[in-house]
Amino acid sequence: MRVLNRSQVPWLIFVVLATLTALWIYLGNFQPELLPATFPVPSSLLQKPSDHRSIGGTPLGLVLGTISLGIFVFAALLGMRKKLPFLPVGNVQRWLRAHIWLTLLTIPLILLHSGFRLGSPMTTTLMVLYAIVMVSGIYGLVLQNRLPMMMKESLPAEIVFEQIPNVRAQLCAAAEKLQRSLKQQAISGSVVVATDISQEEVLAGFIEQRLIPYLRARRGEKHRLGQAREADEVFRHLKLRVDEVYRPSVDEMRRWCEERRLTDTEVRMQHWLHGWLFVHVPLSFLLLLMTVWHAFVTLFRY
Amino acid sequence: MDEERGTQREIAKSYRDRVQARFTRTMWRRMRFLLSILLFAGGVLAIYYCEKAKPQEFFNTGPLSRSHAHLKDGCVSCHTPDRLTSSAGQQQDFFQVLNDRFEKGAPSIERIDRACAKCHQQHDFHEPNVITNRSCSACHKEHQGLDALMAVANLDCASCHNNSKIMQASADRGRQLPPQSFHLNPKLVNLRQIVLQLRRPADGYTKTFASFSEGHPPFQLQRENVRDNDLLRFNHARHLNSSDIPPTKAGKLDCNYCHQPEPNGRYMQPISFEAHCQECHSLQFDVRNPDFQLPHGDAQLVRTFLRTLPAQYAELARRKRGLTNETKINEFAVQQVRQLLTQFPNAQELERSVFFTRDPYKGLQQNDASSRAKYTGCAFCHEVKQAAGISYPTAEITKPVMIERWLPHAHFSHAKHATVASCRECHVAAQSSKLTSDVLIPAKETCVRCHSPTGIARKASECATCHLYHSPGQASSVPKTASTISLEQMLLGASRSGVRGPSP
Repeated sequence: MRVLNRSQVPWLIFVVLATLTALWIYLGNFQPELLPATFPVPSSLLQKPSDHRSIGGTPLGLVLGTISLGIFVFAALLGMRKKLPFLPVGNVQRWLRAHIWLTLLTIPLILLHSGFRLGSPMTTTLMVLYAIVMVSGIYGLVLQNRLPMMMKESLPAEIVFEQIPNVRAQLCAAAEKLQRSLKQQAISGSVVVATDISQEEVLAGFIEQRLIPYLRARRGEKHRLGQAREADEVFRHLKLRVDEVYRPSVDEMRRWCEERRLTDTEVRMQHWLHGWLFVHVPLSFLLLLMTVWHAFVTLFRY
Repeated sequence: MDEERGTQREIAKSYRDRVQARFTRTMWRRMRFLLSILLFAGGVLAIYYCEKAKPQEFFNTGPLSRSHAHLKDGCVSCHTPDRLTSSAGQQQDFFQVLNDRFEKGAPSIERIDRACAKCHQQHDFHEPNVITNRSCSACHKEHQGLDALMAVANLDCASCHNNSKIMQASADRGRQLPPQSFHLNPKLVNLRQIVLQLRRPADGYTKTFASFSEGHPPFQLQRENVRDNDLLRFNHARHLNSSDIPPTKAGKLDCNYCHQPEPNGRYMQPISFEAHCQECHSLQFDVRNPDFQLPHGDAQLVRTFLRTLPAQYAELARRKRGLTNETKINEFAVQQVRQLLTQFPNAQELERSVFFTRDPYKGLQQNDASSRAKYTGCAFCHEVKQAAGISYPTAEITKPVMIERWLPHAHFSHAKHATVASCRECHVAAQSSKLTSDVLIPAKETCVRCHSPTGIARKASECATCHLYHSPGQASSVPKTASTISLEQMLLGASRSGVRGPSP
């Protein structure tokens, strides 16, 4: 699913209008000389004479800061909304859209709130945290917009990410089951068309030494079977070494390897797709905590 | 590709019976959750540390100003570390603080200003008709570098002066106050200077405007077409343009010959006859004795001098001619008086001529510079009147009053302007002014040419470039009266209806 599509247009318009409005009011209050004479800010939007010591401390600065803090809180609630899908508060897609666009709106709001200054080490820390969170978020947004398309092209059968270990375990179990079966056949000699017992041993040995280690590996791409071309070579040789009767089993093993390779590709892509959250989510909560503290300290201490 | 991949339904079917009933957390999710918890806990610990240890630098929003950079107690000199307290010392309600913040911007105004008042006790606020007093830090931005504290922005002034409601209320309040409530700021005017004091307009200075270049009214002296009432006759045009005026010792006569700046370069030194006029306008009334000159500055002294001429000539003989023999001294004096009286019918006429002559160059135009410097008569420059009720010609000379500060509500530095403009570029009218009553102070428009956002002095176009916000610090010059209110009282909302100390 592409994150950016036509349904985002109303949000885009809203954010652009909100940014222009905030900038207009900001300039009207703090730098009226920069405002074109044809767009004066009405007196109702001009704040009263304020005994501020910084732009953030003025009533307008506080309004901008409060809106931003509210957006931070709302953005943090997205995770909770995902955990509680039954709540009748709009579907997750809408929440995600609001999360993306409202947090993008905080960029102009925070800049105007700060008056384009970093301020103290405390507020500088906040700004750095905010910048990391926003950059990681925008990076994630780009990936979320590009990677699903790439996954669709390179993954014929996408598996639910959380189910990948389970699927891999099932592949291992299937391989072990086939190995046990082949060993049993080799011992009992009950094969219908048993021309050469060593073929079963060859297959069982292949499964034990090559296939199962590959299917169990954490990083499959380091194994020979993890490379599609080499795996094809291996299975072609294997097929040549066994009779017709065992070739379906070899094909079956080849499909398991293909499936394992697909899961590897998917894991890799999923790591790209969700890896940024490793930075974004923890720092977002830290940012929220520090912002609340910043609001408390500046409102009630200084 | 879709054919290869199959539909979602087909994919789901292929995995049917192969998925676990319950989603499990992946390692990555677990690590992300753990990291979030760890960072959050780290944040809580950092906040706890800051609340306990209060590392000052962490909250310092920027370098202090030059004036405050060396406060011995550091941050606590101004910022008390306890929670917000009201003026009564009680903790404020949470919602009240929020309301104050969103209404006024800073509820800590009283506390931070009390910290200012610890050192700046003689600061008074603005004019007595101010409606709302401002926190010191509203205009004086601290923590913004060494010199930012005094750089008060136009916007701070315009927050009231560009607000018609506030200005109207201020005008209303000003009308209710006695005129003596308003006085010149001694920081702006030197008490030794002769200052033009115009009557305060009925509405005070409450016209609404945004900045000097936008809406600032013309200077009051031009608005009211003020004339110079000095009765000393002076013709700028003749002194600056006439070709028949010989060069002085310092060269051709120009503005700088008379108007010399004070040592600090701000204003001009007072004009004096001895320094600026006498080189041309000699007091030598006896052609035969160039070094025998009338005294200047006191009509009574001149009269006494003339009525004791023999004694004055005798003194001349002793001091300048080197005579020691009393007989010869007397002979010299008598001879000089006789010679002088050949030009005048009698002593009475001599005195009349000295005081009331008004046509000095008559008969002297053809003389060269060495013999031209003759006495021209007091009345050539001064207003000389016959003393009332006395038949003998007794002159009274109106003392000249030369105003040295025409714009006492603002400060100015000639030195700063001398590098960018000549005198005549600003004082344009001087070239053609023939009357003493012409006021040659440049109009506001002349200043705006440079002091505007598009002018070369755009950085010096703030209100504070010329004006001071703080009204007179009474305590230093005049004892405080009972009705004078302190900065703290003012901030705490004490009544402003009382009359302040007398004007300086």
